[in-house]
Amino acid sequence: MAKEITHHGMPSYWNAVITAGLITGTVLTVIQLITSYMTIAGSSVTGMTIIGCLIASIAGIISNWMYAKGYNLTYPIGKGALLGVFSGIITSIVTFCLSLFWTKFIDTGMNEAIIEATIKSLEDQGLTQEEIDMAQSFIPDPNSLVGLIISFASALAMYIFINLISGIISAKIFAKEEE
Amino acid sequence: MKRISVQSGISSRANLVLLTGSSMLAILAFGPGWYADDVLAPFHWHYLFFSWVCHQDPSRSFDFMGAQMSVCSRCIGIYSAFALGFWLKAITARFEIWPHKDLALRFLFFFAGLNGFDVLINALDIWTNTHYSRLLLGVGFGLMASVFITSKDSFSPNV
Repeated sequence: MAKEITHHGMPSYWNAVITAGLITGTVLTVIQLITSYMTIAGSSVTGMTIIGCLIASIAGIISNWMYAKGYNLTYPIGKGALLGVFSGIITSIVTFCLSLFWTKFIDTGMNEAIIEATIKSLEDQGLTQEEIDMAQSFIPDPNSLVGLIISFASALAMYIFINLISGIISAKIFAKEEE
Repeated sequence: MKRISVQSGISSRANLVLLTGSSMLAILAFGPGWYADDVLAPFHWHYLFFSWVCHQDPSRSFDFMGAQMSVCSRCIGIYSAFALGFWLKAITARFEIWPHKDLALRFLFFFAGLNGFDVLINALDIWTNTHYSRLLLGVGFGLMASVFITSKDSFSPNV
């Protein structure tokens, strides 16, 4: 790995952070697309979302592993948390951009199909039309700007928190002092 | 090789930040049952927030005050026990009872493996896990994660 030295004298962590965010964001997008098509087909998505939960936290692990092992460094867990947070932000951006590209250019009818599948699921649960209308008012329209912002903000908050934790844990594992 | 110091455990300030953050997350994970209208509870923002990291399957989730929790039974165990670990650390800060990092890491891996094993053998229909078995395994993993974070490190001589 090429050494880019910052003004603090420590190597830059952006290579590790961006790589971790790109890998995790791409894998998460693939899993989310599979989950979406399974929802449209009326299949159970429990198994896929369990994988998604685990994958969501690996950005913090990958970035700390790459940074600590790539440069053979030790650093405090606070820095591990920082790497995790940045990885989470990049993961959110990558996931958002890839999903947007997919729904705007590849499969433009996917969001409508998911909404239809969700309404059908609510009808199957025995909800009245009035209750379904009220429920829909809580579900942001994925095609509207507000819906996109809500979706991105919620994913951003969750990915930041999950990767902050995985970043702290990884820093403690990978950036530990040699005994 | 560039070296900077490794802290011996986390500072009380860092513990307070993590305690506050994880406690707020655990409260959110309990869902909107304590304030929401019964019918509309399943569509609150709590669910959107946690939908990125949990399947939220109603058949695998506890109810809290009449509404489904925002996360499944395993995840509520993880979030609540994760917060509990920081509370325990704050309460027991004066006593030398907290485990060393290596022991905490072994327990963390043990419970991570146990959770994975539970998911696998349940998927293979070898055994059927329950709300409480998933909760218990989640508690073990969440608690060990915060115990590991707050566990004692060795000091670095290479400052």
